[in-house]
Amino acid sequence: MNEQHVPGRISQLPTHPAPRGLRERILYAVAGLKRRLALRRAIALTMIALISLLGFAEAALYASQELYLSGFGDFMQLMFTDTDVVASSWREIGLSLAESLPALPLALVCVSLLVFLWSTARALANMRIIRNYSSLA
Amino acid sequence: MPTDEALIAAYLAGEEEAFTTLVDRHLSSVYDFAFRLCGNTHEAEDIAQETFLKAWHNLKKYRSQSARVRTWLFTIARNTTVDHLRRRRSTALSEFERDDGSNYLTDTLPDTAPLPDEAFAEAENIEMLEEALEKLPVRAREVLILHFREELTFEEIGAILNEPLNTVKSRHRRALIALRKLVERHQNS
Repeated sequence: MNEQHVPGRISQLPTHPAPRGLRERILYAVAGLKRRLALRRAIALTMIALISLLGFAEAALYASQELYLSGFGDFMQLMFTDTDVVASSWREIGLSLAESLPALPLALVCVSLLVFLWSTARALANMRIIRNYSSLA
Repeated sequence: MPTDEALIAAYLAGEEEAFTTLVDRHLSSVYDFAFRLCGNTHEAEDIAQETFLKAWHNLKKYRSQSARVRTWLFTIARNTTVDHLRRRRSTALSEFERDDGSNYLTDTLPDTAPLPDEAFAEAENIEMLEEALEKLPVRAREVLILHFREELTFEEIGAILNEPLNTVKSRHRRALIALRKLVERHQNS
């Protein structure tokens, strides 16, 4: 068998052209899928944003209570009322501030705020996709 | 003209038209491949659509180091076609092949001497070759189509079929023998 004939023959077989409209159907299906995925993400991210907003409110309340209880507020107040004392003992005051800082509550405030901002931004981006593709799907 | 990899990168960067260009570039090949395997226009359309939907869905996962875009697309197309054929159940995927991969057509028909070149030279009738190709089992047909029509290497075909190189070469050889015998049988009848 001369295999050299085979490639020529098989490669010369006519290509079955894609039916008319298939290209558009594919692109339409992709747009529809894109919209549905964006909708699911928008819903999930909106829920995350709401939960993180509640979390932020709770964390802010907790942080303010801890700030009051820890004495951090007292040291901060000192910086405005007795600047001479602060200037002369800035190292000790600084250390006291750092020690009394309610790190965990403040971290919770920061994290919940960041999550809220990120999820809101992402939800809005997905809503734009939904709006852009709503006429197609 | 941007490469397929550049088109994917462009699409992921926000250039919507890049995916459309990718579809335009490969739709004919993918549809033709699907049609030649399943033999049905409607099914080939569904397979082509599903292939590009899956490709779009997995664009972020595509890695140019592992395969060319074309190879990756044909992997999806092939797997989608196999799923369709399994669902159909009317196609005997091993029509001529036994479970161990041996082919009754090549095993039972004598092949004492190599066919003269004229046997294939005479197979200028494209229609006859089409019919012979359609009669091949899907597993044989796909190797010939991917190698001779889509000009993929055996390594790439092995990646698509998820088979070792030697297995692909062996399957290719058996497919050519089977095709030759079908052409000869057609000519003699």
